[in-house]
Amino acid sequence: MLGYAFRRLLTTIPVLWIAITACFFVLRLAPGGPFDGERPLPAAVKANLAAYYGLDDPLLVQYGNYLAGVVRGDLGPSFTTADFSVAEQIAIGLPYTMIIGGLAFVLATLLGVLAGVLGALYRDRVADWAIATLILLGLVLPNFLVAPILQLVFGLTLDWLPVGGWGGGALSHLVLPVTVLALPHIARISRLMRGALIEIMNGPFIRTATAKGLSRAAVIRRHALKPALTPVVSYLGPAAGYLLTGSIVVETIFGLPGIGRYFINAALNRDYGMVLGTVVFYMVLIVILNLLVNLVYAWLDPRVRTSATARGQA
Amino acid sequence: MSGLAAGPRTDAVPDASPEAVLSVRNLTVGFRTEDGPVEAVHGISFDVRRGEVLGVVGESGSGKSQSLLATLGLLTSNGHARGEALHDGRNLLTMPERELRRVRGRRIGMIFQDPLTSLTPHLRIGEQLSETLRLHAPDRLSRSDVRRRCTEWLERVHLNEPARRLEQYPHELSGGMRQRVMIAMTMLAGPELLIADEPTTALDVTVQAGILDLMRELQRDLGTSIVLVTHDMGVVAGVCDRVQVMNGGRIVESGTVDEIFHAPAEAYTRRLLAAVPRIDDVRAPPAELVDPHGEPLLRVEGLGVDFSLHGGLFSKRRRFQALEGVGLTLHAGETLGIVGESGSGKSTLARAILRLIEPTVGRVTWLGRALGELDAKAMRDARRDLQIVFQDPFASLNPSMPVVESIAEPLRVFEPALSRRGRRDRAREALSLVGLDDSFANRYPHELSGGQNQRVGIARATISRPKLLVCDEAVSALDVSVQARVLALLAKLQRELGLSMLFITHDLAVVSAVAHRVLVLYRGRVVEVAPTRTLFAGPRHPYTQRLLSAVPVADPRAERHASGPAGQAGDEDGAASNAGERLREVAPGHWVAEARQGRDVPGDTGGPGDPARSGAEPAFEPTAPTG
Amino acid sequence: MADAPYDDPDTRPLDSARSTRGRDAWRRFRRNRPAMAGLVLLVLILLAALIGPYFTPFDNETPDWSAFRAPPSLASGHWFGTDQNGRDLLARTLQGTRVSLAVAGVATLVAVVIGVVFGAVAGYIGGRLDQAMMRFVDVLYALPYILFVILLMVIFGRNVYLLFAAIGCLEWLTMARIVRGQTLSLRQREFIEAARAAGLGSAAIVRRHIVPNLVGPVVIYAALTVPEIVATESFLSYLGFGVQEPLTSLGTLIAEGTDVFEILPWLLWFPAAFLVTLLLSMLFIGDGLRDAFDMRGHG
Repeated sequence: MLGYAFRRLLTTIPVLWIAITACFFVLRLAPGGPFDGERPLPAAVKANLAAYYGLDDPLLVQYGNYLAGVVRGDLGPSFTTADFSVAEQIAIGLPYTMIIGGLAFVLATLLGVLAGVLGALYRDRVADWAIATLILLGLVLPNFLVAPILQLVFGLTLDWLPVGGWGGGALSHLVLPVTVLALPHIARISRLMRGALIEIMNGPFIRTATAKGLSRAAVIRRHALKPALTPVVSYLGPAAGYLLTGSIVVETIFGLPGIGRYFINAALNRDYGMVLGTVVFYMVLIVILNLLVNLVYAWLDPRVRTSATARGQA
Repeated sequence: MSGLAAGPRTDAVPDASPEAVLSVRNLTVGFRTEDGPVEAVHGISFDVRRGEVLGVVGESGSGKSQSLLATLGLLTSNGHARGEALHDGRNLLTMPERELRRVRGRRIGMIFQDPLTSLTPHLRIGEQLSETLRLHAPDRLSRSDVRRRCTEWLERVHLNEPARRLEQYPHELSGGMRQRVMIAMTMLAGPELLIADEPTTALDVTVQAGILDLMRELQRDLGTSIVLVTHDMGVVAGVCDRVQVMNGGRIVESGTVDEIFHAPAEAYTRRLLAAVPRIDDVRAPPAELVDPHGEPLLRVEGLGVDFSLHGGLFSKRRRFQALEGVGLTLHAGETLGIVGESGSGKSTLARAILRLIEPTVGRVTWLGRALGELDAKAMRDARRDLQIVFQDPFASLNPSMPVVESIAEPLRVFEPALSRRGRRDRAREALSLVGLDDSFANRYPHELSGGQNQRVGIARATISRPKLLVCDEAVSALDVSVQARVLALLAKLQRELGLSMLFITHDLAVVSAVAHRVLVLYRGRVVEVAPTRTLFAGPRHPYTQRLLSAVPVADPRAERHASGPAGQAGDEDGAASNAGERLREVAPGHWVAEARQGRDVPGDTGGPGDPARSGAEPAFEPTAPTG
Repeated sequence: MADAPYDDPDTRPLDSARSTRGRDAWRRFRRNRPAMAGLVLLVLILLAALIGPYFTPFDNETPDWSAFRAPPSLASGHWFGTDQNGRDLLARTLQGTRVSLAVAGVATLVAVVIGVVFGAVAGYIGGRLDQAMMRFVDVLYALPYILFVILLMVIFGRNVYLLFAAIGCLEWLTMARIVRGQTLSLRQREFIEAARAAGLGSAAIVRRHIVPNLVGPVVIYAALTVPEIVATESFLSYLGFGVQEPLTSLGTLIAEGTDVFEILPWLLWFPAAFLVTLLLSMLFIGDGLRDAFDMRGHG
């Protein structure tokens, strides 16, 4: 297991490196610089700024410096916010994003798996149809649509929950954003779980387990759940990515001080440093999360671990 | 000749009470399908007597499996059963689930066909075994007790290294070992009736013999009643006391095994028995050889095929030797049978000869020219004479092409001058040659049965009038009666077209009926070659002897008087790895592999590290019983 | 092995109606009620989006000076109402639908073409090339592509064609994986070996045997992708990275509607209803296709 983890880690590093490099060069080679704003600056000022930010060094040198900085955790300066570097801004916003994202992840997984199991067990009966409809809505409604609707219903009309803002992390302020963020993933996970469970339940080793005389609950718990979870776990990797990108919208709509808001502002203001830094940061995060997911997958399916050599014989 | 425990069986169950352990009355099984309701079993009735082995035999679609699955309530969700399945005075079909659960496993156990998919892949063997024990044990058992009992049962089913096996996962064991685990797992609960649904169908014939022996042993020692569902008449003849024959959801006939085999009353039973090829009755070869001592059409010398396997980014490549030092000859009009179990390399051999995969070393000479030296164009031309029929009739046809297109395809390459119309006409002609009329031409493979698809495959292979036809397990996927008819078709075509054939199969009985000479492969090496009659009458190599002794014959009298299997387990490993490249001619036309000089027997534990295991079955397990 | 003395059932002529796999699938699809409902709805929306503009009393650009911020009413001719600039919402919604569908259509095409070629080559050639190509896909898969798209938008401006291409490039990865998986399993099927034994070359094999069998999975996946693309495009437009004026898309309309939700609710409801209906119907169709083509076993 440890060997497997180590090997996956080794393959991740080149991936990250390539991605960071690609981002960097795309940005740097793009027409226009960070200071080509609406008012043309005098040449001398431009030159000074360029020197200050190291933009007049040869490209490769800039790249090297940037890479060195990344390894150290320094993502460069923000071109529009002189007081805070990119890394600092990210550090400020990170906890909020992590809390919202983390809660949404947990909620999506738990509810999704639960809904999926129920849907499979009570297949084609009322409970299944009811869940299926909710699922469908969750799948189809974009989060930027669900958010205002929920805000309207729960925030304004019923006045049960605050419409936005962090509120010092109070639970009531978290409910709506986390729900909106998690909803599409609850839907997808539940569909995956239900489909996988139904298929496995009709499979041969379930028949053997039933023939042993086990109760249905025991059969599902010990024999069906784990293999049925594999497609769900496969989805969790990309889901982490979607959650992060989804959080951009959610933070904007609900006015939460996470990284997403910084990112949007930076993008709209052409703050290349911030945009690059945020993208790099997101990427690292997603890659790490994917790695963790892969490890969980290997734990679930022993064949992945033990047949490292046998795999080549297929 | 099936390696049975010694001893006659006519008075097999001296204190069998006539009372039945399971009584089925008027059982009907139906399924709700997309195309409407389908009835698979039409009101059958039968008894399973205490202490007996009842064989339920039939071809696919006969309802044999479904009827037994129904008694334990194991049908798929769209299935339903009506009638009575009486056990201990109660009807299993109408029992509430809670009580049925107490019967399952504890009183009636069931094992299934494919042990790989029938064992839960993510649980260790020990966990699956102990689960049964804990479920059915009368009182609380301590962990060490559980472990002890599980280990005992693993030993009882002759699995080596039982303690180690407990910690392994199903995919780490071979098929035969997994089936033994299934048996142990089921017997741990101590059921009085064991239902075995095609338990050996997916296993090699030598492994099958071991499993059947084991089941007989259990019946003898524990008095367990057994219902054995199978399509293999030979298995039935060797193991069962009574037999019932099923066809189309009904019981055609039932009686003692002697009655069924020697005095069948129904036409269907007679047809079924007539269609079964027998190795104890080697008939004359299908056709006379044109020129047995002339120059052979095909000559293979020193053929070797290595596969190098990628283990992923950080593992080394490993080499797997599928074939080594294989040689053979084939004369005009002759049928050479190539026989081997899984892992023997017989399919690789077929493909290497036809250059569908490239041999690593060796020489294939066809009509005097070395195939390996031909360039692409010349090879393409040569293929006109070298055709092949595959094992899976459905998979060997493009599902999105009508049948007539598939048949005509070789003509696109070999007779490019033909117009589209011309090709279709020829294809229709080929269709009628294999017994299918025009109504089949524009059908798709999924509309045809297995036998019909295989005829299409044969039509495609023979349309270019080849000189050599390779049949790679061409009848193995077919029911026995369909198989017989397709073999007859092949014989007819061989006569009419003057074909030479390489007939590859694992089924010795089939090969005894079609081949002039037989070549035996073991783990990629030739161990024996001889004319058919000679080989079956007097095999010389220990592996061949063991193979022949393991084949069940569809005759209970022959089975009863069988001596134990030749040789001891473990012998053939030594013999085969010493097989070497040297073949010695012990009699005219009869060659046997002989020991290589100074070669140690590699430790063959059948474990996961064993390179010969690599996904394929080893032909032997370490401690298979020898009777 | 004497000849059977009875009529061999295998050789009896077939008399039932022919059925291709396509016909079987269509029959199964028809029986799926949500899928058929989705199909009907989709067709209606398509018709409305394509022909509608010729029939609406107002166009989507000219402000109606007499009716600013007018709520929907059948009498005034503004069935969906007007926005702050007096533009008719019905016309704008139809135009938005057209744009969203166009983006989805082109992007799907891009995704299919790139994905199929990439996946088929990787799957058919196999070996080292396949491993390398799939590693490449793995790398791209793990990265938050949306961010890249936004990055590109930031740099190159909001160009509709770029949007098409960028979104298409997002989706080709999964298509490539599916096609590669399918090709790999096809390649190992015996009918491919049979074709080689018949002397066919690689190009002919790919053309005649592999591609026709890819159609099913590709169609299914494309159908399931379209709603995702529509949703992605809406997402980007909502954030402000989508199409520019005077073009509009459903996402942009929804974004504008959200801003004034409390006072001009119809500006949100109508485009939202269209978007949701579109997505739902495409989802049902996609699911229906997948169930219809699902060939579990045979014979």
